[in-house]
Amino acid sequence: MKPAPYTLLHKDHPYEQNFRQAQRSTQVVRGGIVTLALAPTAFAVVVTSLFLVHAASMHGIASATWLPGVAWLIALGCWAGALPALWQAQHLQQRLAAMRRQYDQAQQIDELKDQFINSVNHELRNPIMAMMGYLDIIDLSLEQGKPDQVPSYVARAIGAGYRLRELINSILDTSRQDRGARDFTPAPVDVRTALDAALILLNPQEGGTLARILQIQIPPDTLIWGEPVRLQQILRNLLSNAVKYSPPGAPVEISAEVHPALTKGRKQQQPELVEIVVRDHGFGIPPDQIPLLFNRFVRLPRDLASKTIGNGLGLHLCMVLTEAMEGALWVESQGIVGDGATFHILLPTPTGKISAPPAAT
Amino acid sequence: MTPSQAITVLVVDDNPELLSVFINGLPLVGNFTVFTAEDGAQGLEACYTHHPDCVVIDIKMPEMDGQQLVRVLRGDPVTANIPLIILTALPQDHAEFASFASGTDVFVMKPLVPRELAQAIYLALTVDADERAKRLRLLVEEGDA
Repeated sequence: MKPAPYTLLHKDHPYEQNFRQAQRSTQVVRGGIVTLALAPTAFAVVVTSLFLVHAASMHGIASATWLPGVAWLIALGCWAGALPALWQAQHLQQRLAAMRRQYDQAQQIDELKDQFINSVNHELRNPIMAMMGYLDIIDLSLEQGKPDQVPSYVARAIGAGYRLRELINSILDTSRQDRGARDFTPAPVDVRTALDAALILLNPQEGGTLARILQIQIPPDTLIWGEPVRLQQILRNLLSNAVKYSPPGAPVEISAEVHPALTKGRKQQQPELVEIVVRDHGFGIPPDQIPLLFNRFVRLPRDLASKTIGNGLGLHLCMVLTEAMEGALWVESQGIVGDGATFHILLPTPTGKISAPPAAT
Repeated sequence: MTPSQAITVLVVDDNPELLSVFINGLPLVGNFTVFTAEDGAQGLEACYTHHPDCVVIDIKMPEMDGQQLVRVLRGDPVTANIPLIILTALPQDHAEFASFASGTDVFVMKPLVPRELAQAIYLALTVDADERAKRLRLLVEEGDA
């Protein structure tokens, strides 16, 4: 299959060919050096053996005792010359391996860019098409003297325009939030309060959230050390996904639990942490697609071909915001429909925080 | 060219808003009767129910996608000669689709307005069974070359 026209790096890219050539050349050079050093060594071994055989047959010390000595000196000389060259070749190999890793990363980013273009292209074209379509209908209606329906078409065109604006804003917002994620002063944040705010923020259109059974198990006064708006955004995105990617009526569970600090002797191995778990009973995530899930603009192939609207930025933002609050975020799913997915967020508590809280005034 | 007899068109797309655009827009452009379906499986069923003159198919859909629907329609003698239009969102969809397709008559890129879709439908209606067979042969020969 031909690479997508947007793909800059692919298997036949000149970089790939140059890299393979350089790797082969390094291997040849290394092999040559080893051979050049091994040949005199083999020669020295043969000379020594012949000398010993000769000495044994003569039952005495042969006259040419210097011969093996000279052969070994030559061999040692060759090794002395070869070892730095060998070291250089090894160093070159390591640099090539590092370049390989960078190249692979660049390729991964390139693939993500393709996914982004695919995803955004798909999502943007529909509202644009709806808007243009309704404007065309308005034009045709006026041309043919049928203005009755025009106000309704105008309203629909405006609605499509709003959806387009929302989509573009969400892409731009993510980019901005990505950069400013760590720009906050941490404080104690009540998890339940943040959840309540997140529920208010949830768009009722996102799968009829309010009709869902929401099973909440958060002990009172469960606090994390972070920033309230960031925690609200994380919970909002995870809940929105749980609703979007599960059938209507499927329950969504959210719980929080405090993990006490772990100490061994006088050393603290793990500070006190709060684990927030958001579990849905939806379509699940195929395990092989989980590693890519938190990257920017990633949408599962299944979702790209579905009616579910998304821009592949929500989970990336959750990861950025969680890491900004010194936390961790991961997901568990077997990709089985009905089993759904379980997202875990681990955040420090005010007592388990990394840095000291500001003094109370 | 607007034929005097009503042209029945089946539009298969998972986006209800776009279906609404075509239901309302196409009859204003010409003598069209529009049926709709929201996925490939529904589209297939609608083909047998309404026997449309032309089917417009979105390439990306849940359940049975556009490619599968085209293959099924072309594989059945009853529907093999219905003019088909594919709606694509990406230029490479066209190339990928053409590489293993399947007698699609016209490819159109989203976004497009009802007037443009009507032109594409008129164009697809000019492709007869012989022309379709000839195109398919060419496609196979290109593939072999």
